[in-house]
Amino acid sequence: MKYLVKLMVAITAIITLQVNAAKPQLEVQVSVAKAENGNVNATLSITNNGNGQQKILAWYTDLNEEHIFSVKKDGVDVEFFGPHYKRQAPVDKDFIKLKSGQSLTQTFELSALYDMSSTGNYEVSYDVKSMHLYSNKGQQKKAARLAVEQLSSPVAVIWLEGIEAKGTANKGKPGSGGGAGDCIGGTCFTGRCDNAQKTQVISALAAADQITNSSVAYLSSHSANNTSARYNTWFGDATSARYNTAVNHFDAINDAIDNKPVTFDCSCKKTYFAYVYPTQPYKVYLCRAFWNANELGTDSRAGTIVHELSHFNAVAGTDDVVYGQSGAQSLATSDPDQALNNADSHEYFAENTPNQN
Amino acid sequence: MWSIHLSSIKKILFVLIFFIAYYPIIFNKALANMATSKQSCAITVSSAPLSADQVIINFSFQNPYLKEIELLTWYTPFEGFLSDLFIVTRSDTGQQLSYQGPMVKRLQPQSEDYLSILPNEVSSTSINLSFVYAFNQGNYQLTLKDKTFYYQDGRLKRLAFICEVPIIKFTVK
Repeated sequence: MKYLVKLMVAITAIITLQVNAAKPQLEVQVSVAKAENGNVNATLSITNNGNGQQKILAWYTDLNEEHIFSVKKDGVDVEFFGPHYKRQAPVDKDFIKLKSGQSLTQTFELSALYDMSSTGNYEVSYDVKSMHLYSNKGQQKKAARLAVEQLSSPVAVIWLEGIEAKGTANKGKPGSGGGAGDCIGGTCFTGRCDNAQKTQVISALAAADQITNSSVAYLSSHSANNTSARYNTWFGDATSARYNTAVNHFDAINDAIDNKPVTFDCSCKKTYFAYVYPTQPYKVYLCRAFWNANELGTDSRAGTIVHELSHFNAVAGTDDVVYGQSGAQSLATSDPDQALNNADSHEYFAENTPNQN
Repeated sequence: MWSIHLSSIKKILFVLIFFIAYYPIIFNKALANMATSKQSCAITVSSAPLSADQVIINFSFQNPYLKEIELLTWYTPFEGFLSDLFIVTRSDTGQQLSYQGPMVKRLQPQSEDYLSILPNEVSSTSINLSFVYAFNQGNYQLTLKDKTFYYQDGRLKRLAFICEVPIIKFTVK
């Protein structure tokens, strides 16, 4: 009799497991939408359709914690640029509890973590395989049998128009178009730039190209003994040596914009405009003030790019001697050689705001 | 003859009395106007050989003015490495070490970017040059670049001076 009861319990358990396998207790849905600024938002919802409580490991519900989505472009896997954490085994507090009928819904911006900047058909689904997805005993047994746990959603599909490199800013750059990582027409991105940021950077780089071309044109149509207010305001009295320095600096900035593999990083969350490591061309780190700036004008996005490129030792090797327009104007009067070593002076000459001839 | 002599002595005496009476004012005024005060900035470093990854220097600034000032820490050692602050050269070759740190473009300074320093008060900070310069065994020379230090007085007027320090020498083992 005792054995019979044990056998009955065992059979019931097997039947329960099979029912679980047939009808998933956790149902996962993903929907994808394109925002006006070009960003791609995926909304994930996980619902407990079972009768009892379900627990799911929290980091598998958050794209900022784990690689939880499969993104394919025209059938090919798109690389994930998000974090890969090495973690300790989860403990109880790492699990989110879902009561029967309860849902968990969260929206994630995808274009910062997957390259979605080129035109194509994108398929997005939730897809997680792990040894530690659930803390539920029955599920764990099943997982142990299969050696892995899996949770996935149906595929959501979205068609995206690509971000195009505009103007002449990217002509003749190495590695143009696809291929090496997250690049658009020779301009590359790191640090989770989303589609809206990529669009803004591509546009700001074209504007930087435009004001640099204007600077080069000014310098070639004037000379050391024929400068005007625009030059004298930012670089002071000209000698032929100083004038040649200005010519060389703007030629080098122009060359960097037109021909060098410039990379922009969007990971900085400080109040700064931007920063570079002068020994590490051509990577520019963009921060909060950059995104709040206008594209053109004083302390603009275009001018900031000119400023930052001028810092690279491989470009003009400039320093930050003084800051701001009034500081740069005083420096031009008091020390023209230092003005030609000051990044802001180059930026303000290129921005030329207010306009001077 | 006597009268001329007497008037000269009177003049000399008058000048002397004037100078003695007003000496503290003249002296303090000279001190307050000492904009490029060489004495106000200093770098010190251990005279014992330093290890290549621990080139720690001490930068100090003494407020040379008779009033409290708000020193802008931008482009000074007080903010650490957000700009190229130093000239570091190898003594044997004269080769300048390249700055490996960041250069940061910022918005307008905020109140937290200022350091309050009382009259004659000395503020100092220690920083490790190894974070941003690659040192090998050898002798080095170090000085601060000619950077403009900005400060505000009580009326929030923006004033500036150049902080000059003598060249100092140190050894990396």
